[in-house]
Amino acid sequence: MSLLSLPLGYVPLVDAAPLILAEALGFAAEEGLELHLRPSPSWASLRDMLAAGQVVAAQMLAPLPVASALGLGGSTAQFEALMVLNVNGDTIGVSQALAARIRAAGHRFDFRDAGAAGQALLPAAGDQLRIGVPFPFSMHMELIRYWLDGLGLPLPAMLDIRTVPPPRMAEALAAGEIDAFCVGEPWGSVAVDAGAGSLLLPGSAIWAFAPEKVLATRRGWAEAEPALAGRLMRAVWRAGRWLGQAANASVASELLAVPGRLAVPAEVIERALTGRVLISARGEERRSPGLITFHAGAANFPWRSQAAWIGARLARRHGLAPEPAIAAARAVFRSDLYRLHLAQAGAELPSASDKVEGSLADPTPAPSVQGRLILAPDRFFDARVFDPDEPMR
Amino acid sequence: MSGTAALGTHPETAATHRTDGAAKTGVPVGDAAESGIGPTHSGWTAAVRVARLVVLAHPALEGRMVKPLSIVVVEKDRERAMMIVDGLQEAGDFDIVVIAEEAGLARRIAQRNPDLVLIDAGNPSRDALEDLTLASTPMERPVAMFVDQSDAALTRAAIEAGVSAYVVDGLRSERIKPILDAAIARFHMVQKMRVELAETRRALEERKVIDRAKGILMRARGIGEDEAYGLLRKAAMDQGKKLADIAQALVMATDLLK
Repeated sequence: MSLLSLPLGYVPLVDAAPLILAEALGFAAEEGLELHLRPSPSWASLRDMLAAGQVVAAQMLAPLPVASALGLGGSTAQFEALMVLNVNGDTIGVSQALAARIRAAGHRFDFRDAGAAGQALLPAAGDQLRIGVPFPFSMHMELIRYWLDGLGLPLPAMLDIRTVPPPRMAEALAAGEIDAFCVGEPWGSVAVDAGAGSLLLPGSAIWAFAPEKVLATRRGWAEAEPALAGRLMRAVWRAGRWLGQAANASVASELLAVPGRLAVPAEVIERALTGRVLISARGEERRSPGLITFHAGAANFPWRSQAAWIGARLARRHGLAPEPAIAAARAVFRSDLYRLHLAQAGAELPSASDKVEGSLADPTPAPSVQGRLILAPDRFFDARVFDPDEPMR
Repeated sequence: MSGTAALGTHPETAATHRTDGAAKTGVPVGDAAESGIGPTHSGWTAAVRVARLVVLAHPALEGRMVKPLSIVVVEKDRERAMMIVDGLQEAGDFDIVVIAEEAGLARRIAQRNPDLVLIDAGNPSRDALEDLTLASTPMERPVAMFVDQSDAALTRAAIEAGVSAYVVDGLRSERIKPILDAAIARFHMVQKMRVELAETRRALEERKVIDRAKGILMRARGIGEDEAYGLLRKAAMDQGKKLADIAQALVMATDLLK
C-alpha cells in the first residue's frame, strides 16, 4: 500500500517530539501516512505556512489559535486545535546576576514553589524586570503574567515582557538584554549549559497542567478531510503514548538530537524527558517529574475549559469583552473531533469536555465514556480555580 | 537612477524635474542619526543605506504630496541587504532603512514607524515583530500581509520565496504589490546564491576528503593515484554509496587507527 503524503510543520523544540516520532517510529506509516516534516524558524512563519496550505497541520502554541479567533496578532487566518500535543514543557530562568541576588535573599532554588520563587524574584529585580518569551501569544506569556499578577506584590515599575526567539534566549540573557525568560525545553537547559543563567522554576510550578502545544489545522480542514485528520491524530497520539513511557526517554532523546531535528545533544534533551534538570552551571540537579507530559492524565484531550481559560486571560489583557472571547476560544479546542477520531485508538475519553481548572491537587479518577481515566493534578500556584461556568469570578 | 539626487539632502534643495514632467521634491528627512543603527554596531553602521528618494506629486491626489512608502528591511548580512535594497529601488521610489541588529528588533522598528517591514521568513527574530501587532491604535498596527491579501498567488509566491512582509493596516494592496514582487525576485536570487555557495563548499570539501583517501591508499598499498581512485570508486559502486562517503569512512577509520 502506498502511503499518503502529508506535509507537517514544527518548531525545533522537545515538544515537537510527537510529530517527529510519529514519522520516525512508524506510527504514521501504520495509519497509511508519510509525514513530511518541515521545520520553521519562527511561530509567525509556521502560522503563515499553515494558513497558506504549505503544511496541512502544525505544532502550535496553544494560545496562538485562540488569539487568532479573538482577532489578535498579525494574521486573520483561523485555526483549530485537534488535540493537545503536550502539557507543560517550559522552564523559567534568570540571569546570573539576578540569580545571585535571589540566592543572597535566602531563596534556595527549590524548582518547585512558584510563590516563594516569585516573592524572592521581585525584590531582587528592583525597578526593572525584562522577561523574554518566545511569542506574545504563548503559554509562556500566560504563565508569566498569571504568576506575576498572582504574587500580590507591586510589580517593577519597568516590567517588560518581550519576544525573543528561543535559540537567542541564552545569548540575550548573557548580553543583559533580558533579566529572565520563560522558554520551552531544550532552550532553558541550553542557557544553563552556556553559563548564561540559572533555572528558577518549571512552568508546571505555576500551572500543573497547562496545555502547552496543540496540533493545529486550518479551520474546517479536519471536517473536510475526516479520514486524513483521524489517521494523523491517531499516529500522533500513539507517538505521545510511546513518549509517555519512562523507559523510552533515552531512545527518544537520541532520535530527537540529530541534525535536521533538534540538533542539540541528546543528554540535554533527556533532562526534560526524564524530569532531571540541571538548574545551574554548577551542576545542581532538581527533580521535576511533570516537567513535560505527552500522554498521562489524558494529556492530549483538548478541554474546552483550557481554551476558555486562555480566552479569558487574553480578553482581560487586551481589553476585549470576556464572554464572546471565551465563547470564541472554546470553539477552537475541538474536543468533539478528538472523541470522534481517537475512540477507535483506545484513548481515554472523559464524560465531560470541561473541567474546573486548578481543582485537582492529586491524581483523581474521573467519569469517562471510554477507558479508565485518572486526571492529573492541575493546580495553579496560588490555589485559585477557574470554573468555566463562572469564568469571570 | 532618478532618485539618487535626493539622497540625504534637504527637501528644498532636492526639487528638480523629471523627464516625464512630474514635479518632485525630497522626502522630509529625519535627523542624521537615522542613517546609522546605533553606536554599538560598528562597521555595519556606515554601510547601512538610507535611501531617501523622491516623492511624486500624483495628479490624481489633487496636488497633495504623497510620501513614498517607508520600508524597513531586516537583514543581518550586508551583501544580501544591498541586493534587496537595490531590487526595491528599481521597483519604485521608497524610503528604505536596513536594520541588521536583532537585539531589540521590535523597538527599533517601532521607532521608525515604517509603512512596511520586510524580513526573511527564515529569520527566527521574525517572531519579535509580532509584538508590533499589539500597538495601541489600529493604524499603527502592522499585519502580516499574506493573510489579508486578496492576491493568493502573490501570497504563496512570497511564502515560497521566504519573504515575510508586515504592512500598516489599511495600506492599499496596489501600493504593496510592486514592493513585494521586487522583494520576491531578490529573495529568489539570494536563495539561489546561498544554494550555489553551499554546493560549491560541499564539492570542495568532498574533493579534499577524496584526495586524502587516495593518499592513504597510495601509501598503504604502494599504488598509483589512478589505481587508488579506481579502488575507491569500485568500493562505492559495490556498496551503493557515494564516493565521498567511502572516502570519508576511510579517512575516519585511518584517523582512529593512528
